[in-house]
Amino acid sequence: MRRLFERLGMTEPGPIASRSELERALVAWREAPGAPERLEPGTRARIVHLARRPAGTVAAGPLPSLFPTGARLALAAVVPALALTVTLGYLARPVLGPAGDAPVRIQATKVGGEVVFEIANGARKHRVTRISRPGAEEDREVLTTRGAFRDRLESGADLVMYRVE
Amino acid sequence: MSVRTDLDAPVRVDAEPATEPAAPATAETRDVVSDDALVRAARAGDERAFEALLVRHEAGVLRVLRLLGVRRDDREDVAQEVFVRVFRHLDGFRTGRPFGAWTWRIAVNATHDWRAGSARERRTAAAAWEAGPESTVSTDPGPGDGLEATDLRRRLEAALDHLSERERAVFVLLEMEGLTAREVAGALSITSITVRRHLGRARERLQRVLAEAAEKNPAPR
Repeated sequence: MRRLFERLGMTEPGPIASRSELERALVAWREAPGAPERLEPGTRARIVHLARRPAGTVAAGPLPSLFPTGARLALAAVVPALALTVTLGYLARPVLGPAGDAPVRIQATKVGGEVVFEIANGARKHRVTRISRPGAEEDREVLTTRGAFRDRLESGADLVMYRVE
Repeated sequence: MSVRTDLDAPVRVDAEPATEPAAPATAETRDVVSDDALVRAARAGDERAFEALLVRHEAGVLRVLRLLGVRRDDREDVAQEVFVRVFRHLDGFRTGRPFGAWTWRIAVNATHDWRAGSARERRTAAAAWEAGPESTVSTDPGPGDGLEATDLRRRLEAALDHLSERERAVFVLLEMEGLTAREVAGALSITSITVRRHLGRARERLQRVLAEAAEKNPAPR
């Protein structure tokens, strides 16, 4: 009989008396789990006070977990390697131009009456072409290695596009 | 005892703490205001919503701490730690899910830290069973409670000290607090298969312990 239970992945039941003892105890507990305990009023006030303290005044820390220490160490070793792999994969992907080029980050900011493009991809030159009308192009600037390119911001609601090469 | 150093800082309480819950926690509003609504208000900084959640769930947290083996002397401090964590991580709670079960999860983790922080486990484990009624066990009879029911409940709670930490957490949350196996798995960050394994072992051990106790000292009827 024990083998049958093991094959089924089940626990062999104990004597009838012991099983009923646990079940009886559980039934008794569920019916009346005891008089409810309450916190002291001072403890409540302290909890609310501590919970509302600004971040940084206390060491909040992340939610703890039941991970065993070994698992935490393994996780701590895997995460940096995973992050490095993802970062290298991201850096290696082609963004502009032929595959293998460094990634380019372009940021456009309005500064007074000008729109300023910042292109960060290392010490390279770029050719930026302003496109005011589809099919018509007007060259504006060849960027320096610092990656700063400025263009006057025309008033109005026209759509202006830039092509970075 | 000191559970966390950040809890030992001097605390200024501006007003006399109310002995009765604030307005959102009164019996009348308790049925009206959902936990989710209180959580949203608490996230927005409503102090009364904090207090209402606290009053509503403190008994459940204290009960689970008792079942997990936190001694009466330390229970207030550990419960304080639980609720401070709950409120500091309120943004991590997913509304629509049972808030009480979420607090129990944090209670399990706080109990784990409490055990790890000292040699209390060695003092409490087995001592409860050997010494009979002990401070982790509720001996308060419920209303209309018979002597047999009180004794069965006391024996069950004392027998929990014979379980491992995981077995105990699984058994308490599933069999005594009524969570599903899936909810317990989520709360303890383990698989449902592991939950069933721990539950099987816990039941087996409790059956044996309770049967031995019944043979030695039959329950009064």
